[in-house]
Amino acid sequence: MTTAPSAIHKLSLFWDALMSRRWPLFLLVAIGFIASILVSRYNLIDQYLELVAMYVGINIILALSLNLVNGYMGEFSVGHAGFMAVGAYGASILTVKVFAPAAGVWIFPLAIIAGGVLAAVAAVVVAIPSFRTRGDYLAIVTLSFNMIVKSVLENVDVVGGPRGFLGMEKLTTLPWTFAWTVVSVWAIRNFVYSNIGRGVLSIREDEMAGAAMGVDTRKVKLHAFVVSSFFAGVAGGLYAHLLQFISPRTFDILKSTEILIMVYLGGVGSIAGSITGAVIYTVLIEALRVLGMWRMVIMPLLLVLLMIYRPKGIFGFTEFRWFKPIAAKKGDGAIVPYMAASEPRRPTPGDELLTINGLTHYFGGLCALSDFNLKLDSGQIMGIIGPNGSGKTTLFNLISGYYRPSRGNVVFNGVEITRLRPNEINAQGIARTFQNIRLFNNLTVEDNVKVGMFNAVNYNAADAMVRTRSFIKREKYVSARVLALLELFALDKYAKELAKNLPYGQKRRLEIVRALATRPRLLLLDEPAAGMNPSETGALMELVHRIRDEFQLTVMVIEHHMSFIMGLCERITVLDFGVAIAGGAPEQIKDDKKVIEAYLGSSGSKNYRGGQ
Amino acid sequence: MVRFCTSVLIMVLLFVALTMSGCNQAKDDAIHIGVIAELTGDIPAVGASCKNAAEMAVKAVNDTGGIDIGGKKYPLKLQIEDSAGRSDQAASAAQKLITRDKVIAIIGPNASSGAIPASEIAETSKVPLISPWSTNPKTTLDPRTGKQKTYVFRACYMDSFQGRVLAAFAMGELKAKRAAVLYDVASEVLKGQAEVFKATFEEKGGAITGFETYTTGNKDFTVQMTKIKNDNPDLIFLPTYYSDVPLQVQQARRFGMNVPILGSDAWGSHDLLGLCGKDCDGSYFSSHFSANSTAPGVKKFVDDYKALYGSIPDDVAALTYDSFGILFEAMRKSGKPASEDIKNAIQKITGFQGVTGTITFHEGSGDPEKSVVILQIKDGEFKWFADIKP
Repeated sequence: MTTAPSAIHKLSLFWDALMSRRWPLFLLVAIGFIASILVSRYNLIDQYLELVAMYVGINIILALSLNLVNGYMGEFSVGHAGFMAVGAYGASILTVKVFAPAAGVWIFPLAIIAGGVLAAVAAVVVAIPSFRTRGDYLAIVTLSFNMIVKSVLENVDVVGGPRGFLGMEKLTTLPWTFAWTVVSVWAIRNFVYSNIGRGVLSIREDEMAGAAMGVDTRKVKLHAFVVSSFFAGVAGGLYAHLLQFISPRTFDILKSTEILIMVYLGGVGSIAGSITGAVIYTVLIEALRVLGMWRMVIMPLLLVLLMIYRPKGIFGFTEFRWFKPIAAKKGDGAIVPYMAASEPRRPTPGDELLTINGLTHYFGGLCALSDFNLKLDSGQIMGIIGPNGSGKTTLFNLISGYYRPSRGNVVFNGVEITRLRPNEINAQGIARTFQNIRLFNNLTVEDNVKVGMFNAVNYNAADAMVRTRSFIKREKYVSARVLALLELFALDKYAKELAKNLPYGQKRRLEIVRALATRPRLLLLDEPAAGMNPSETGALMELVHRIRDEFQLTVMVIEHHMSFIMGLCERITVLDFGVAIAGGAPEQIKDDKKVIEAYLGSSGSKNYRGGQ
Repeated sequence: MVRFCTSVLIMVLLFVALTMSGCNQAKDDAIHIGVIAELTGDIPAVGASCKNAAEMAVKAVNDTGGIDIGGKKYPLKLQIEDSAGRSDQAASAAQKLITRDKVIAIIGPNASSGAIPASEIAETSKVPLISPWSTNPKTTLDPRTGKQKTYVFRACYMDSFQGRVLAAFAMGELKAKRAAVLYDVASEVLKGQAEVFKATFEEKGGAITGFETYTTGNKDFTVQMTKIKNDNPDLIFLPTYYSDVPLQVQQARRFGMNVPILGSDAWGSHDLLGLCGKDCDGSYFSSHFSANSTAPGVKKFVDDYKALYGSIPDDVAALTYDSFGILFEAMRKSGKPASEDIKNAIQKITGFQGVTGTITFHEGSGDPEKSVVILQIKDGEFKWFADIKP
């Protein structure tokens, strides 16, 4: 071995050691903070550089806060400058109009927080329409919000109207900017790597699947918007007290676009990305001054090139290791058996678990399900079969809350769940899988299952952001349980793998594990054996039996593989054109004339023996 | 690791580039003058005019061997920065010019949204700043003390001043007693003009019959015009942008209102003539500058500008030219090339003959005392009508 590679090897080992520990980061932050104090106290760098450095800090906060909504949650907000404006005006009114200028220095941090809080309140207004709209529609909602804020400010004379508001002391200094930037990075990073953060990611990956796993999408969206806007407001307050002048025009669509550029340049869904994007954008704009008017062409050009060659931005969906949670070491935390002692009492087998009365659903004029009735006892495995389009998946969607039935009701474990939202139904104890696998593709296997434990967590967003003890305790519990679950299904070796990289069969299995993590009493499996060969199907059959027994489940399964259904189910219901045409034990169904007709037409072959 | 290192490297390189920029100045005895113009952004035409006039003014001085201060001739060096029409970039441009380029004075920015934050920096750094075109009263005002900033000046008159003069003109020359106003509420400038006009007009015994608003982008003014017509005014004041004027005037005429129409400096674009046609004939508006004024120096300025850039100079070009004129005059009188002395000299300027009128500064105020040019649209041209002194 030559010396050169070993030196590189040593260096990379040293690097690894640095990256996998937290203290170098803390040290760096401390050095940075002290440096920022010294620099501004003794004018170590000229004021121009200092100004640009403060712009960088403010822009990092802005990019991070927008990244939370656009990158992590996958929504498309284009009016972020609106929140910034609310924070800027809010903080400025406090320092200029409410408190004496002399008190400014002391009141400044409070004013910044108040600006953030005001922006967060404004966010609630935007979050509510976002419950229903996504993508383009939400973009329009946020765009309108931006314009409304600007117009309102133009018409309020107390804050200068269109002429702008001034009179702020220059309270934003380098140390303050540095401190706020660090706080923002820390809080948003903590928010993202928490239970609610996983909820945010599940919305980006697949909102419907997230809701089915018990994620309260409304609560999550509201939280994400509020946190994001709070920091946009903080950035606004800092900006106002740096320039000592704000006008409604400062916070127009162009400002929002600037933030968007920083986010997409640096990379969506990445803290490191937001920091990089903000630094490059801000410094480049200044460094390119020599180019005169061409400099404003360079930035968009850079972005176009980036979008062609690296559509997710420099750091898209990847994270710098310092920002990721430190991986739990083997033996960390107690091994939690899957069935914890605190499990709620499950209904004893024989109890009636699910009752469906006269469930009817129309798609426009088409009757997808007509007057469906069912009584399902606890502990049973029940199959639903029927030709394509006979209403099987519609039935599942009605039970799990995706559709509101036109008529009829569903009672689960003594609770009427007909009008509940999918996540509420999940919380009642119903979990499901999907016909076309709907995993959170860009999350790891581990995180997929952790999303399933969304409701098993009792800390709130504030706990997550400051990492309280209850957070640490609960996260340890969640990690241990998820690992135990994965081990149980032989998926633990894939724990850190992205779900999209799993082989097909494992994806099916993971979807079941994710559903189990929600601790259901009733599991709805929608064509779990689709695309499997006979030996895989056999293994799946065994698996379903096993989980029914081990997890004390009741199972409803839709399948086309007759051998699977016949071998697995204790009861079968046959649907045809939305009507239940037969029901009973597998043997009865096999010989039912109506069933054979439905599958093979009225002149059906007598030899039909359900998949034999 | 590779990506991390690369991006850190890029960021460090960028910062180094930023640290180095502006450091490569030769140690000559040239005096540096900074210009902040809106070269990009939403009003690039303003920035272009400003840049043109600045280069022309400096070249004229350098062609004579430089500026004579205290018996010594100093060559001038112009450093032009872009504000992109944004507040933050105007501030960083001002900070760069002062810190890096060590400019002795700054001309610009033109837009008030840039001029205000830039003027804060100029004031704290004690570098004189003259904004050619910023009409917002807050540019020269220190909001904390309520007093005028000492290092900040402007070459134009303010909206309030314009509104007062226009009201006087409407009642005096045009003998109006009842005026209606329609203005763009989204524009700080226009709103200010409308309000001051109303106040002055009423103060002098006139009646404002209608005070109607719209917002930028509106194309239909029938509702407002119906209201205005019902009150039967004998003059309509339209402090609106030139792009809106044709529709408004045409709709007013269609309603059968043949009263005189008065506009403000926002009308001052040659595009107005083509868009409005005969409908605007006979209307008046105020301006900072008239290219066909008979005042001394104007013809030479217009000819020189036309020879260099192939177009007739607009308000911004003329005001920038006068800003440099004021600065040069002050530099010659300052005795030594220092920001402080130049500031003192600007404050003492009286009766400066600029292309936009006679300019006088009073100690303790950055706002000049100067005349307002009234133009009339006649036969598809802007014709000089009168110089109204305050």
